[in-house]
Amino acid sequence: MSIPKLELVSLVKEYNDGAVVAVDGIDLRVAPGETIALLGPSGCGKSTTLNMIVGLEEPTSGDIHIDGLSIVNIPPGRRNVGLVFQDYAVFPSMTVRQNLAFGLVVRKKDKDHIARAVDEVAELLGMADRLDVRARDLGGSEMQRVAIGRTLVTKPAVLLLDEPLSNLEAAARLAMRRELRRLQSEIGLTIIYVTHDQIEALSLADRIAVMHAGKILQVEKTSVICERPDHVYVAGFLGSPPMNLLAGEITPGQGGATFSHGPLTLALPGDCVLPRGSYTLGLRPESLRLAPEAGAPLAGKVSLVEFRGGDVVVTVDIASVKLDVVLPAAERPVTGQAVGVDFDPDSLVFFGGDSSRRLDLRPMGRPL
Amino acid sequence: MIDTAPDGQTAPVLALENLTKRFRGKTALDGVSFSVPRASLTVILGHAGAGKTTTLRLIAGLDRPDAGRVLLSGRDVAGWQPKDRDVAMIFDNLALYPDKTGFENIASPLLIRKMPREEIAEKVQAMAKVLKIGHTLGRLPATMSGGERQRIALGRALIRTPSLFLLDEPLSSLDAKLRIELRAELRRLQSEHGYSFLMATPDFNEALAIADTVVMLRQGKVVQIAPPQRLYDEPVDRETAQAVGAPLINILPARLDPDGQAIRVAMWRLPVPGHLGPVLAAAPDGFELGIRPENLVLADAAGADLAGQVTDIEPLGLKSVLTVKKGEAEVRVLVESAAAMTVAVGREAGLCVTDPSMLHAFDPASGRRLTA
Amino acid sequence: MPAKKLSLFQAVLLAMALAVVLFPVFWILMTAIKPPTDWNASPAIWVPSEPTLINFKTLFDPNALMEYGVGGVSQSATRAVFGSILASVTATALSVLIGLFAAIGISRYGTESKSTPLIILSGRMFPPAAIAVPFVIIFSNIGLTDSYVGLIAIYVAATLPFSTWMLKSFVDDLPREIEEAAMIDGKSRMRAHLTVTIPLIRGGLFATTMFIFILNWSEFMFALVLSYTNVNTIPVQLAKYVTATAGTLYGVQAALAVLAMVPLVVVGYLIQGHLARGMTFGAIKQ
Repeated sequence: MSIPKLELVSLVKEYNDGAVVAVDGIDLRVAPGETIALLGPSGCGKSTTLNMIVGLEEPTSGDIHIDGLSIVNIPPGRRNVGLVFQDYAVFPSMTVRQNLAFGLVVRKKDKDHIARAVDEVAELLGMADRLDVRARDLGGSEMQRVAIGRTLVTKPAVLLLDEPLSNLEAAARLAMRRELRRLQSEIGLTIIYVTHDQIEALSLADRIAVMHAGKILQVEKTSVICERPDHVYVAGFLGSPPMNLLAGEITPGQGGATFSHGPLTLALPGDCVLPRGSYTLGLRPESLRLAPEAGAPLAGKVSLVEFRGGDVVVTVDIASVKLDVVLPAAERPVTGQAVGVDFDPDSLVFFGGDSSRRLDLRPMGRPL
Repeated sequence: MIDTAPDGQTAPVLALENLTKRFRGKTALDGVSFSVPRASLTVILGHAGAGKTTTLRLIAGLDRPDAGRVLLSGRDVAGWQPKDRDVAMIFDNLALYPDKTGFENIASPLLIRKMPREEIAEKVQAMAKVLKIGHTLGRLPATMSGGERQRIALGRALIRTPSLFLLDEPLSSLDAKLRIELRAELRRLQSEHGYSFLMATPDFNEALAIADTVVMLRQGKVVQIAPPQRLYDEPVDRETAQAVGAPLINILPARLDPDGQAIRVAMWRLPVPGHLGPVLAAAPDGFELGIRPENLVLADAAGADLAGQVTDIEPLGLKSVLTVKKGEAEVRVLVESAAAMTVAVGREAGLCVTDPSMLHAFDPASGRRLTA
Repeated sequence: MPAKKLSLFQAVLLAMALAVVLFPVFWILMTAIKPPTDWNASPAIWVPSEPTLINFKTLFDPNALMEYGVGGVSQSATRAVFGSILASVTATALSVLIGLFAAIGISRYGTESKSTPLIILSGRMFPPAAIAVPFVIIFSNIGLTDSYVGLIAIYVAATLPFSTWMLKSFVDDLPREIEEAAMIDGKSRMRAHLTVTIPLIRGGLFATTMFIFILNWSEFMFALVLSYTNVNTIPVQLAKYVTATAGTLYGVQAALAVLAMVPLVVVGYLIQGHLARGMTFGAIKQ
């Protein structure tokens, strides 16, 4: 990356003299024009990070750069960062036009400049015919577009959105995702989304940074991150349903190494390079299949069948372990049915017991 | 306590007959009728404003219907106070007592019934163990996380054993992950103890995942009552098909060829699906064809059922949604992300229908699904 | 609230405003301890050189001023003080009680419209002076003049709009689902309101009570027209301190005023935090 548009350098935020660590030293580089999602559950520190970039909170230590220059000492209004709040914060009694113009009016730009900028943004958002409607009469997604438009007119260096789709109904959400992706490609801004919803992150971002307990565990291209989770937590967070994770031991043996989790034992491929020790095994629900009990590596009973429309999620109880398996709806079993579970050995994913990082099961060079 | 119906048979735990409720001239519920069998999980599915909360409040006795009857275990409870109806309710805003601890909140129904202290303590501890909230019992709701509060509300409802549990969007304010976890928890509790649940939600994923039966509510009217599979495979009308399922079902204007051999769908021609043949013959003015995105698969542009230009690729993890456009018509298809790598926006792509028997036809005016 | 640092200009401005607002209080305090000779002195005497407590004594011993050659103080103020306490406390209690149940009724079981504020507060929109005389006429027809019953009745009617409105805003702020949860848990409707709704608006209830008390305690117009011999309140008594010989007994008036201020200052202090909250009258949507 040449000069990143936004860079977080060892950013830390503590409260109560270090008793509470909200952000625990994160580094991130966002390229110009890139869209990044900060993804994590509530309490992971993503909103605090957002607040520090905007300037609503001061970092305890570390730095934030925009276009290579540190902004931590610049007051929030002057950082040239746009923020779209979760609840839009649109002025209800003003018209769309007045709302859009607000940022520029405050910055005392001349009338022509304001009019042009407002028209441009309204056109971009598809709200050109709604300019004179009062904001309180708008629908949810229209209000959100106005909220976004309000930041766009000021042409910020970086645009930040806090859980942009959480207040929308399901149908509006789908439409808005498409809208946001179109906007992203048209305006070419550098955008950061903060969200707890992986579908939102997957749909909108070029890269995803998964956060947990104040740290960024993995930053990876969206198209790759589900295939290649680097950390046990990431593997357990992404995916619907997420990867099945079993903590256990690998024991080398005469006939080949085995992985055991309690009473469960799995034979591993012959060229397994992992030494004896504790590991976490990851099994993707989409990579598992149901098979006849006899001869299947795992066998158990179906305890739950969740219908999803096109497919089903089957929970199989195997000796106190529950595995989720995704199957086409047509192949659904019956609750209580005794089944076997089979998988492709290539689909096994291992994470180090201590490091929690992904390890290669086989010699390097063989694709997972 | 209501346990058996006056006629001795096991009546459904809840039956609504023609329930109607108006608020200031607006009709919130219009002749709603359905029943909830004992030991089952029924879900009321509908958008905001469809009447879900109103229905639950009428059942609980918090509001009075303008017309219709509410029968709990066979008895007409018109005029009965909420406390006499033997129902438990979880509100969408939880409504925990803010000045009472977690313990006192859960114990509240038992305290009101003046159960002996030791018995109450026993029951509350057992419940806290099951819901894994033992550590919050001594705290006030304001100091708890969203998930903990949700479980305290659950505990307060479950500590009794009422005939019916009413849940109003109980998981809506939670993180995506926590929502999925608690959903499974609810399902498990229901099936293990044989409770009767009636749950309201706008989220069709939730409805499909845990319901035994789904009651589809739209603008105060019951549109369809069916188990999740049937609601998805045999929606009663176009709006229902669109409300249930993601990505959105493709709805395309279509017409039966005069010679009856093929159907013209937007800019394409498809063979007539077997099960629709007789139906379409009776609909000369054209119809709307419904194709679920997972019912299509990528193929070579030449020889494909539908071909066009790729206008959008939406990655959703291991799968992606492709949008293919020809002329004015747009079609969404769900593909493996790996397959999505083989196409690019702007390039030609072809789609084939995987299972013609899953194609739907809808009447363009009324939206009703056309069936034989 | 954390203290803000003031610029010199702001501090001077604040001092000037305070001086203007507190001057009457200062004057009354000083006048209360002035001997009769200082009352009407010209030029005005700011701080008496020989402060005395004679004015306070006169309140309860009407003849105390004889030594200064001032006679004709008709009665002691004891009755007035008791009268004020009786009228204010009773009227406040009744007003808050009725207002509380009215508030719960309107908030939970009423239909609201844009005219709701108007309907509730319209009772307060008459200037007391305009309706004082008609009230006297009506009350004398039904024999309620010069009685505490009559006075309290008017006080309740006059403050009911306020108590209802303020309490309604507090009840509105409490999600109705909390008491509904209690109803589902097993309490009857009334019990749920008594044991759940009311305790949870404790703070607002306290603030409203204190506010209504202040209104009643300071009321003059109706007390004046409805009191002859049996009824006496502090504001009315203040007006009685005028003699033929010595004119207006400013010092004694000031002394009574000082006594009357005490409860107000105490109550005002207790509710200062809540006052802003109640004053918005539910106008701010949470």
